[in-house]
Amino acid sequence: MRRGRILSPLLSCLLFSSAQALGQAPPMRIVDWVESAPASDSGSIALGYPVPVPVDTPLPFDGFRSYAGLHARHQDLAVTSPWVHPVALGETRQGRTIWLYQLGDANLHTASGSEEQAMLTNGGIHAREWQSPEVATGIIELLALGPEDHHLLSYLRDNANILVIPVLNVDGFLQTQRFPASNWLGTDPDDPESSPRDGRMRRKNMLGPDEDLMTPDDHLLGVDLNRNNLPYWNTDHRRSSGDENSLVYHGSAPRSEPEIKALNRAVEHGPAAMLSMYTDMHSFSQVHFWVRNTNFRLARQTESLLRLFSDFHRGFPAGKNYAFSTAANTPSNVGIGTTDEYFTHTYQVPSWTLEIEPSNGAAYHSPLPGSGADYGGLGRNEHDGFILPESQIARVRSELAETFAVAYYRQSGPASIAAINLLDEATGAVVFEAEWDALDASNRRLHVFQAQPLQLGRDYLAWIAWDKPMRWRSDGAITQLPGQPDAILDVQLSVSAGDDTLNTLLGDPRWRDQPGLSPGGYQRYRDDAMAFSLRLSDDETNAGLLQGQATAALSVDVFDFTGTRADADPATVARWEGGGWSGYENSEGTDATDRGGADSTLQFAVTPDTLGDPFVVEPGNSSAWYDPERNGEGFMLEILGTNRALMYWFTYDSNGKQNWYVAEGEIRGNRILFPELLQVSGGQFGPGFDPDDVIRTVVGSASFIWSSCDAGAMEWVIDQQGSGRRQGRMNLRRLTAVMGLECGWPEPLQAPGVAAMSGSWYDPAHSGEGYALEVLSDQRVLVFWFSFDRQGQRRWFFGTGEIFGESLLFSELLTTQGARFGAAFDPDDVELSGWGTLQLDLGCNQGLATFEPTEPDFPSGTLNLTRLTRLEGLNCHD
Amino acid sequence: MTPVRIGPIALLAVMLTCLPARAERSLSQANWTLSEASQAAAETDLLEMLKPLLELARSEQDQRLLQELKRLAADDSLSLPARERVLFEFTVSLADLDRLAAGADVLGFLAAYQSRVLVPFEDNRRLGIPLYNVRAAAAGVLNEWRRQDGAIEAMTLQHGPGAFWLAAYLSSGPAQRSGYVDSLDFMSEPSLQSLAAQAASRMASEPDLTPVVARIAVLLADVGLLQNLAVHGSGPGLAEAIRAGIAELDEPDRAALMSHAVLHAPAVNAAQAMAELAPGLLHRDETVKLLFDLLGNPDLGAASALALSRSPNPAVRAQLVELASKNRGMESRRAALAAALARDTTGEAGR
Repeated sequence: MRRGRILSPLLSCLLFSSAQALGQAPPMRIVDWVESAPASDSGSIALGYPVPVPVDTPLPFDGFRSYAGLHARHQDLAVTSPWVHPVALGETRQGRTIWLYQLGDANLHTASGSEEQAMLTNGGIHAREWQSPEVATGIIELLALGPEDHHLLSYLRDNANILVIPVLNVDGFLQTQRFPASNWLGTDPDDPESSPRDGRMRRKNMLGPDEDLMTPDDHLLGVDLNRNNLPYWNTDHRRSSGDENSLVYHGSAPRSEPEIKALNRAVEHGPAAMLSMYTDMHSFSQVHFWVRNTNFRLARQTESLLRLFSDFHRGFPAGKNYAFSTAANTPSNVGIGTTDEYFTHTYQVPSWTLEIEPSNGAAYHSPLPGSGADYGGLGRNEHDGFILPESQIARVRSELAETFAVAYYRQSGPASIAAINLLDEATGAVVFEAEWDALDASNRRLHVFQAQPLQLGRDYLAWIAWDKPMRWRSDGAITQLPGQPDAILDVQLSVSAGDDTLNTLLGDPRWRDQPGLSPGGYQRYRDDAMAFSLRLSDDETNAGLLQGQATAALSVDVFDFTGTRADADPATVARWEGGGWSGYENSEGTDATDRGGADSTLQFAVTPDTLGDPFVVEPGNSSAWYDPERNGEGFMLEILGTNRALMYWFTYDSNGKQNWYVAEGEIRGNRILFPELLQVSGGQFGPGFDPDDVIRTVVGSASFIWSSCDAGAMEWVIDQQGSGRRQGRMNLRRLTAVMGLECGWPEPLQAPGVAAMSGSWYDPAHSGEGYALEVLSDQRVLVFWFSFDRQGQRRWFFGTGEIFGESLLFSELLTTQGARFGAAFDPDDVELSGWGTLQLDLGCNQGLATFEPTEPDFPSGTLNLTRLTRLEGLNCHD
Repeated sequence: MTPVRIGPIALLAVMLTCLPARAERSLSQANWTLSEASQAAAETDLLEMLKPLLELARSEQDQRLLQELKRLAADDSLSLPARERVLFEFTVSLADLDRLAAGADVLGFLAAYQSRVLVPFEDNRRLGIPLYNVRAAAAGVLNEWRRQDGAIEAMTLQHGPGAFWLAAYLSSGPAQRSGYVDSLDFMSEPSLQSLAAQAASRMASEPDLTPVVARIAVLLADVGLLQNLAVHGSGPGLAEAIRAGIAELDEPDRAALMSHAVLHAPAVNAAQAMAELAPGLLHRDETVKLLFDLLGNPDLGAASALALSRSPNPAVRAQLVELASKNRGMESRRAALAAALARDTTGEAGR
């Protein structure tokens, strides 16, 4: 509490400075940090604001948490959030655990199947710099508790491996918190006058000293962990020291300290080959320190990343500018033993020391006066910059955490085109579809499906999706990321045939921030996709260039919201390697430039001929479908009213047993999108079936596309089963023709008849299993029964039968086994066997199933059936 | 309100609240070693150099003082470290003088003085930072004087209506507000009670009143006021106020305060209250039960786990282990967390 005591100035001067004036060493003493005190008080240093005392709370507040509070917070998030994964890295000098937190889904794979870049952020290496663990924790809290925004945070969780060490120097940090307002003065061998040591101002680890501040003999001991690193350990005797009492004592050998060994081990969780960024968080002085080696690309990338960081951070209302030197002014191949030097040289990744605010009194921070005076403090001892006022930490924590998120986004890799649809405006049909599929860790393969060549003079809508969110919004409107120029919002588009540009009318790109896929929604993240109108002019120039059907290429040149140009060739996966991005081509296809370029990889057929409307889904698409190369699995598809469809996928698991999925979809033009592929479990064949035990789990998604009534393709993704991402594609060929649903929009079948029995049927007491039935045009009937065995394994039985009035008799239902799911499927593995008999007695809406299995352990019985679906185009009249 | 001379303060406020420079430049390099600069600075008699400057300041001779400071800054017969040391020490000493000791011109000169002796920054010695940061010291003097202004203003208002006092407080800047809070130490108990009633009733809508209520709550050791603070207070200093305020409370009042905070306060406040209060209440069965009941609370479960981990009672430890072994979702996970924290040596922090 300040009492307003005013001393005589001369007395003040005498008390405060007499010892130095007389050339004597300042007295060795314990000095307290206080809020207010006369300048003449030699036993205290006034800050001008309350001295922060750590509080044992896990929750972030306007103040500093104790280590126990921070640690409880981290561990609690690890058990309450799916995005926080703790790793015990090692132990400190005094045997305390050093923790690493892996943030995100921790599966090391991006949403599109390539390997994730890893970014390591280290906190609390210097004990007294309390800003650092708070900011590190702020990063953890942002990733753990931030909203599922389908934008930056969702993207990072899915696609980046973010590694955070909140407190490396746990022993030292605890020592500062034991004495949050006290330290020694007059003892530092280099700066006894103004450099306080130990207690609140401990910087080093706890090699040597006890935890009692009042025992003076050992209080200067400890190793400066940021001088204990290769390759420049003990190479600069002015900036690191062999004197164990020095503030910058480098230790007995490089990496002698267990804390540094733990930090080095952290990269194994990247793994090291995927590391693309390292930051060591310190305070204060509001700058980035970095060093160069001989890798020019790395220097340029580091400078660019620091510029992004500082430019974005300056956009917050507080306007804090983090200064840094340009590459031209940064020394090469010299160092003092810091961790950022180690990561620069060892891993060739952008590495730097972040000195958190306050500023340091340098001219480039003007008019900020520096240290605690930046916040209304007294500025009497520059070490007050280590003691950030409680009033500032919440802001600092959140601003820097958000800024790190932007830096992580940049270093997760350049954007590349993921998919494109060219849609016919008149019908909504996708006439051209292309998508880059992950082939392996380094390569992608372009899947292309063209339903119809593009026609001159016809209106299309182009929808393009990238593999990361591409635009930043403020209050819902697209704007440049704070600190970035307007120019990054430009999108350059053109269509060419060979070396010639086609005359094309292109609309303004519209970015998609609503879900729903093409053409109105985004693919995976808000603003990862855009759409624009496209019309190839029906003129002589274009007709001449095309000379009949020809191939055209769409060129797309775009920057993401951090100003990084997209990859010109998605065929090679961009990843950090050797100090820059590899697999990141420019417009000419040249790699290792780190510049990206216009993507011209999307080529499609164009014709000057008039072909008419493309095919769109019709009732005749209700059928059984299969891929001729995958005989033994397939789909039962039902086209329902109001643009809805139902799909059953009869297939296998990875162990050669039967499996099936079901999904409801939305028809769009010539496509059917199934956003939720369901796996049903908990059922049991026979009288033991209990619908309350049935669980329906979304495991992925699927989409179908047709070029005609008889041919198409499908894509599936299973990425929500906890076993990583799997995806695949199949060509589709019609297997059956349903009575009354011939291709070409026939008139609805009016007369009562067996044709209307087609559809899905189930017993409400057995909700979770049922029948998909097709009455075929050749008077036969096909049934698939999607069910379970007695142990709950999903099973399916199928067969063709005959029609006797309202009775459908299946004298031999079949079943299969042996084939495996996905890429491992081999039709030769399919083993067919008899299962039993089935009779269906059906009216329009009710019926009875009577079955007599021959496979052991399946009891015979009956099911009281109710119609579940009615196929579009088939009406039933009792 | 009593008018106060704020000429130099107003002028400097404009200078110091400009937006930071946007331009990015190379970082400054050290141009002196610390030892060489310190040695050069010590070669002059600081006291002799300060005496005439302080005399001029004390006699409020602004223009002569300014001339002397400028002459000193340009005096090549002295080493640059010596000059800047004198300027710095003089500036720091101003804080102990009457606020009329230096006018706007003098403070403006000091606040604009860009120190030229740059020594290696100890956190990374590639960076040069001012050995004697005169600008920061000048800003500090300005802040100190603002605070004094605030205290003087507040004391002139303390016998008037509380609403006037609060309005003046809210219209002041941060440093002056600190002075207002300082002045509460000199306010009579009835005045404090009257002011507290008004401030507390407005705190929910005027969170900036939190420091006022906090200080009064501590001075009066008023449990009701502390409860109000815990529920409606926000911003820095809340935990400190609770820590200071509970020193005079008996155990039932402390237990009541914690229960009140848990039941009615925002989670961030309640967690701070638990941090300050729970360690002294862990021997009470009701407190332990309350903490166990909170384990499943999404917001306060971690704070509860941390508090329970501090219990020296083996029965509590056993109860945590037992609960952790059950399949009771969040509750069991928090119990496991508490048990792990209890085993972890890092839990010693803050004990």
